[in-house]
Amino acid sequence: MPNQNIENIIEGLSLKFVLIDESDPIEISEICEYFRKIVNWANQTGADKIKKAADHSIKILQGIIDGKDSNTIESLDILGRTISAIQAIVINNRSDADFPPELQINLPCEREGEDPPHAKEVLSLPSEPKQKMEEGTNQGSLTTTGLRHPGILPDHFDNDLFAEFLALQNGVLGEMEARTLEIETGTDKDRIGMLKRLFHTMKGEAGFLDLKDVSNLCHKAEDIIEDTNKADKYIDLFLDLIDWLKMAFDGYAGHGPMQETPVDLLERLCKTALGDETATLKDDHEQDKQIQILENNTIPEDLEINPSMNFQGEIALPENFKSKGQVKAIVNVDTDRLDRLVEAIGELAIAESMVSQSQDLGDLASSELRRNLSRLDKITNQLYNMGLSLRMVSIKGTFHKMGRIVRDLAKKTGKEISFTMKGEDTELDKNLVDKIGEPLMHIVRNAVDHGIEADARERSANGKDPQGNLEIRAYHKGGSIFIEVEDDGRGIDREAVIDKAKELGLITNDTILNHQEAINLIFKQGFSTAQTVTDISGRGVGMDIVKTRINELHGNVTITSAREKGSIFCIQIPLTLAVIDGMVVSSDNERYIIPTLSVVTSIEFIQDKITNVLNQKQMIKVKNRLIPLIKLSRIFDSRSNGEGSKKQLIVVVEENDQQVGIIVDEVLGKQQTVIKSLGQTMQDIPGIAGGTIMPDGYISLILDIGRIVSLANH
Amino acid sequence: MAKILVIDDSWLTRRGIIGILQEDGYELIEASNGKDGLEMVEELRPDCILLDLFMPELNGFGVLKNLEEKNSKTPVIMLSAGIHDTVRAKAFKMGAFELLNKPPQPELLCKTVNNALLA
Repeated sequence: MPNQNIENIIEGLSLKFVLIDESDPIEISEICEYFRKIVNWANQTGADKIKKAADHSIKILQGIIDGKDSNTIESLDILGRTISAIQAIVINNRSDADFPPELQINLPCEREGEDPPHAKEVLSLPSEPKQKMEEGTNQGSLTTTGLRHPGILPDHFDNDLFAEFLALQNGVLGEMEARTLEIETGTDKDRIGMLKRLFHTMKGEAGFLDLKDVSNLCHKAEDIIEDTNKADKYIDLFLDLIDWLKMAFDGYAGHGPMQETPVDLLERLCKTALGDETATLKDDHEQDKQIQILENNTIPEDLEINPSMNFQGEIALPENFKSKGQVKAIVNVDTDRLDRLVEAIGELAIAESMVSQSQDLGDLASSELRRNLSRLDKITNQLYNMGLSLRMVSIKGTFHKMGRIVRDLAKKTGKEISFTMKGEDTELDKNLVDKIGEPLMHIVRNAVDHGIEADARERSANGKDPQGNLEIRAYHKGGSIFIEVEDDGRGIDREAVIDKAKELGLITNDTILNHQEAINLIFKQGFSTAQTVTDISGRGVGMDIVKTRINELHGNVTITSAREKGSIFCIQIPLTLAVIDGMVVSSDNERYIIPTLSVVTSIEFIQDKITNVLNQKQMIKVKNRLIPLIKLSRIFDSRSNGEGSKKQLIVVVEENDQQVGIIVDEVLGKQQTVIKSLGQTMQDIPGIAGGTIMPDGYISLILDIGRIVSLANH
Repeated sequence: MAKILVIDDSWLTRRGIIGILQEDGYELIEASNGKDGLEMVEELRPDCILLDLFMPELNGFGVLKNLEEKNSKTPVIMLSAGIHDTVRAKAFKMGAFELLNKPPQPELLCKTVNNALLA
């Protein structure tokens, strides 16, 4: 605690000062040192006045040391009073303490960055949010942490707790939003009960933290929800409320502007709670209503709630971490530190395999050593898996966000859309969750905007529900996560896409494309920018961005689409960004890693089957398809040591439905690879995605298949 | 040293209450729902219980009822936001020592706990 520290400093200073021998420069400079520490502290906490006082004191002391001070006794007196004033302010929480007038800093004492004295009975005062807010802007600002409290953070909380509270609210708000949207589809007791509890908990917690606006709003919302029959009519109101809360918490966290008391929102909530006719903000009415509500409600005797529900903003720990409800310490760790931990574990795993697979061990290794090494191997693996699982979070939050987007967009476009999600508990790497949001949003937007027909009659004519259906689902398969967005709209008009692509010069007039290749044209850069295309094809806005983003995640996106039936966008991404499944190949004495995701097949290199086309391009026919061949030594300009003599292999890789055969000498095996970046200077080498340290300690390069495919084709 | 059990589903509320009370030198233990709370009453025998009303698993009244059945003599102070008279009456009938509005004023909470321990 910094406060503990400053208290010690001040205690030390006052003790030293009492015993001072003003003729001893060493003692005086020691006191100077104390004041400097106070200046440092004041700098950190933004306590301006104290900083000025301490700065001034240092000057006085310097004067004494230099012998320039004519009236040492008076100066010491001033210092004495300064010290008492600092003491009174910092330790005894007395804001009224005055600095000696000689220091000329006695403006009305205002202490920034420090909790003011708590004698005020803040909690029982009727709230005056407006006024509170104004106070808040100059008083409660906690400059050190970026945290801002609209009023005064109660004494028994510290900033860390406030920060922790704010950090958790994002999740709570997400949950709130999801529950609110759920009400739209049905107002059964369970759903409403859960939403009510969320507001209740937030109200209580905000009350504790003295966040009056938040607590008031939640209180009103809770009241409205009491009336089950009404709740579904006020979804928009709740959503606005949740949006405001989001902004308010961002403001408190220092990530955005502070929010004014939302008078109109409060009024709307009051109106709703009171019934529209008697709309008023008056307290007595409100209380009547409250009493009535409580009477109607009566708290359920044995509220049994499914234990799996975890909506109090508490991080759910695996069962074995819970020690019978005893003080559960929850540690919030920022993701950077987690990333470093996982990276370090990755390094450890590599170092471990370097030791246990070392040639030097050979016959030297006793059976005991081998046993120990295999134990080490097992533990390292465990540790590695644990490390990775730390970063795993469910995709629920992202899905809920999509729900909101669908709802808002559907309203805007006047379409009726039923949104469902499946597998929202699927877990994936936190980093991926953050990055998948944007491309997913693009896809969902497109589906609503262009996929689903604006006219319900058009749907009925094609034998579909008048209401559009949009489903979003996530599941694990192999080492990957699949996220699919399916709509039952118009589908993609293949001919229109091809025509447009020809018009834009993306393909030549005589290009023959199969269905998939044609649809994939919408991922082409340049295609999306054409305004008119969206009208014909029903798709196309920003799809190249989607593709790029997902490829950045070592993932892939595919479309299945049928005219008038709808489209499925399928995103496939690896479980984590840090590790890929790779095929280790050797070519000209270099080892490379090809992401397994991209590998289609591997075939023997037989000279007779190779066709040489025009500009000396080598091609081979695989499954009736002519694909270009490429030699890694040619791309990377590495020294080749003759060819033809050895038996070679062709690894066929695929990206974006285009295939390329990579000529390699040997396939060495498959392995999980920790991706490491090659650093800034080498990050843009075409065809290389990164590097990795092999078990034997050598480095091999991970191939960027996307780039290689496009290199081979041009 | 008196032992005080805080039963509340909100960690922040527990932190707040503990923040207020720890300066008075109590030993504070906490539970995040009524069910865990009851187990801890059995095992750790607190001298006073601070109890939230709305909670998952088992709510405040459920806990009170359970304690009553077990003939527990441990004083219970209930905390809730916006307590209404009917709730108040019910709580007292079920043996609560006191009801405090949430969030409680720190001084009042300390005094009430002190009184409960003396009772």
